[in-house]
Amino acid sequence: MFKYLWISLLWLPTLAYANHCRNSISGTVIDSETRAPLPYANIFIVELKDGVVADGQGKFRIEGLCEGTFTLKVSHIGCTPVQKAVTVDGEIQVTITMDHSMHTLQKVNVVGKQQSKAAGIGSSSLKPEELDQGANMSLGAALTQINGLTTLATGNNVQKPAIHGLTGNRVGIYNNGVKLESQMWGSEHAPEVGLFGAQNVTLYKGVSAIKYGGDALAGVVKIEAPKAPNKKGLSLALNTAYNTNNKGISNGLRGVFNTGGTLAIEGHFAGQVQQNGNYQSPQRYLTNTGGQTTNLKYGLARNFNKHRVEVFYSNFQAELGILDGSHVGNLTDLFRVIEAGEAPSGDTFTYAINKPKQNVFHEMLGTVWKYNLTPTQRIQLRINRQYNLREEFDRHGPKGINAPQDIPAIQFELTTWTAELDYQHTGTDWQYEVGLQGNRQKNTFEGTYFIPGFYRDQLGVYGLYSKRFAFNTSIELGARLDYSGLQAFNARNIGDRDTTLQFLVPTFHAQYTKNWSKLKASVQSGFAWRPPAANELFAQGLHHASARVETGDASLDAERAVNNGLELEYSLTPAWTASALLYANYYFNFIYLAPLPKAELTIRGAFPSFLYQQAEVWHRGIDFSTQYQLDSSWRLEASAATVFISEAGSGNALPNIPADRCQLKTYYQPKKNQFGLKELWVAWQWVGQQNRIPPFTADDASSNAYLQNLLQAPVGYHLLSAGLSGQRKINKDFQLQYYISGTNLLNRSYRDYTNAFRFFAAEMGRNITLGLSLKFNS
Amino acid sequence: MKTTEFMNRINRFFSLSVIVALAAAVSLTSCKDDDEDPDDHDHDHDHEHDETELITTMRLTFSDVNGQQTTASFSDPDGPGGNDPSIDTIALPFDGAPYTVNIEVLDESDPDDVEDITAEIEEEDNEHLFCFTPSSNNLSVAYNDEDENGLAVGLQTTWTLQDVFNGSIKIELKHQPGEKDGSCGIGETDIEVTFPVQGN
Repeated sequence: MFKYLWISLLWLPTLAYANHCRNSISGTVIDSETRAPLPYANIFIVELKDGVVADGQGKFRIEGLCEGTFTLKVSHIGCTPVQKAVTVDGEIQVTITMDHSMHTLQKVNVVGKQQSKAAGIGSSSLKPEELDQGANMSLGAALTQINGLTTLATGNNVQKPAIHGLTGNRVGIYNNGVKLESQMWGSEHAPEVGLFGAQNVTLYKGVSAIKYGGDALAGVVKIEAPKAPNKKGLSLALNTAYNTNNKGISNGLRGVFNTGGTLAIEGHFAGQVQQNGNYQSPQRYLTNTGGQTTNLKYGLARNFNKHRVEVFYSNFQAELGILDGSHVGNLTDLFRVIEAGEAPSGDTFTYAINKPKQNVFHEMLGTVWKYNLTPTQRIQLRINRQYNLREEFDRHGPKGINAPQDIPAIQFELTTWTAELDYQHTGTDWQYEVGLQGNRQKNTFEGTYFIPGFYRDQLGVYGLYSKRFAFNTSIELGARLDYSGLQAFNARNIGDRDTTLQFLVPTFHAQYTKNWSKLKASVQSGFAWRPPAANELFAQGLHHASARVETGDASLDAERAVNNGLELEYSLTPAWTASALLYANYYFNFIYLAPLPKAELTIRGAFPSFLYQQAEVWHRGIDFSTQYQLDSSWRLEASAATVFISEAGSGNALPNIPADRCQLKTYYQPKKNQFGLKELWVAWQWVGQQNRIPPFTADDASSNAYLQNLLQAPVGYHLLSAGLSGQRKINKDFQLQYYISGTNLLNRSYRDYTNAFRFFAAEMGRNITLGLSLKFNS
Repeated sequence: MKTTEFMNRINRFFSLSVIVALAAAVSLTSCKDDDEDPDDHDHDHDHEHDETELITTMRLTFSDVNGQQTTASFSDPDGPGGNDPSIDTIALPFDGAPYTVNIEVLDESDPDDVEDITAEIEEEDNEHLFCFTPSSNNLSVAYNDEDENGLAVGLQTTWTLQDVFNGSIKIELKHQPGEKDGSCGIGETDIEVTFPVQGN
């Protein structure tokens, strides 16, 4: 059915745009002071979400434009980005002057998709409005707005981002330039970071991700703090949002400022408090799924001639309820739930959080010193400290009337010190960067053993090089070498021994990009290694929610992958664009949790036993998306993603791979109206049933029954969502923005294959979110 | 001219001090610390967060009609995973029947500090129930105890042999806070062990 739908969509644009779009803009980008041309500036047309690159003489030309007014966003390395509105009617000539001032010499971020195109293949970023609305969601949930990204969930409150089906420490998360070091290795650990107050959330892959560490084979999610104004000023935004489904409320205040004058301190800050009660599936309230999150961050900076000093701090706290009834004693209990289709539940609404629950706390303090040796050379030093606390409470504490019930069953504390030094040199059509990164990490646990206490030391060195050639061709190269030493104490899976494991892991990526007038193609190839994580090496314990015993293997090798990717971006007309990402990665020894044939006998009964194993694995897939601007008010977007992860020899799929999915989204931008309504949208999403499931079997009947249940994927589903957003100016200084968005509007009951709690409850039912943001600028 | 430069310096110095002071204030007042060491091997037992309850052992003490006592245990001192548990075979000579059976539940994960969880179960007997499932009717189990609501607990039972019994018995401990009604099909399973039994 979809096939035919696609064909009809493909023909649409050629019919609609046959005649009246033959205008053009041509121009030159020059330096405001020297009036010299600036080569290779990026010119991005906001309305079309597309752009071109100026040539070596700073000249550019955009053809095939319809009549109308377009906003050009021009950026150049070392310059403040410039916006210019151009009314197009015939052949238009423009001159764009840019301020090549020295103290703003930083890697320039161009908002929108153009930035991602420069950032390496398969990279992408959240749109500002997605980011605004995503501030009320978890990072994982917000990122699913990017095609190819899904979540690996453990109930409603715990969602980990998955890039092309890969998760855990294969996904690096950078907050304000600092790698988030948290206990995100377990599937029931969500990243301890909030999106509120972030300016940009960008996904990097391949070459562009190399700077951010050797672990992140799947990619890096970068969350950036907002930039303060250049001169004296203050912007504030007071945000509030309400979710109907779980009666969730979130309130936040964020802002940027520059004191100006002789003090000249820049800063940003954001604070947010969120609380939600029990979620509702279409059938019932999900008992004990309430959550509370607070999120605070701020940063201060000042320029001192050629130097810049930044200090920043962030603090994230959450108390997350875990669905009551998901904590099962043993396999018999789990089968009872599976048979009933639902975990037993109290079916009432409350904000109260009982056990089982998680308490998480993450704190980061960092400093940056930047030194611009010359306008084109920069040295940067970063020093950070992070502390992460995680407490997990089982449903019941120790037995006995006088037994303390408020102590966690397990508690981890992870402290990481990081230092980074890098040097960047930018030429007219080239740039290179070299850097050195080191960190020391300390982990301790109290309570039940799951992973041991350890020290980890890592040292990495990297180099990046990019060059643009004539004929719109560019290359990017990146290489890095990492040492990782893990000193573990009393590791239970190897007989309570101390051990030190060392890994030396190289990474190399090369990317070649060529632009034709209507087609841009990027090819990327490389290899990457990843040292095994502490849980993959040393885990041993019982998972109550998934009723299984997990064991690490201390003899695991570093994971080695060869990556290949091809990204094509095609614009048939300025109004119609399509892009496709094809990737084929080969892992020589992919680490995954595989079931063992023999069940593990414990005093609670027999449990299916899982061991971290390595296999030769193919990781292949396609992300496809297309956009079509019908006229000045209607826009269509379609996207689809599929991913295959399978053993190389047998072709057997691996578990927990997201199912195929596609989405159609229509936007309508009304003419100027009294409500300030800017956009309405409707989206329809289809997620298929995952048919690629592994043929695991076990020796005993009950473990076998468990595996069959575990692997059997729920049926596919359709979801309808819609929303609107707008803004009204109150006066010169104040502006009110609003949005309403509704998900699962038809209140469908569905379960997701990559949610470990799919046995216990259906996913969230209908939810309407109302959001308001009062913005102040002076 | 010189004064301006001097003032500029003062200003720069002042700005830097503000930034550093604020950062220091934060790091001193709010930055949390981990006071443990990863290589602290005994940390399970001498800190505020004791290792939470781990049931490793179920010991059955059989008293025959003559007052002779024997024991049989299911024991997994290293917890889930690792070494396999050891399970004794329950030998019930026919001429000793019926047997009075007392159950003990222990945490033997630390041999120097064995914890007896039996008393705690007794304290909370209104939310606990032992369930006994013999593999055939030749062995029957009767409860000798009850909680404050008159519902069976199962810490003490009487085992009667109807005939020669070569089979097994499954013993479960159900945790049923607020929902105990005497039936075995509810609650969370704390223990589920199966002993081979020879009754002849």
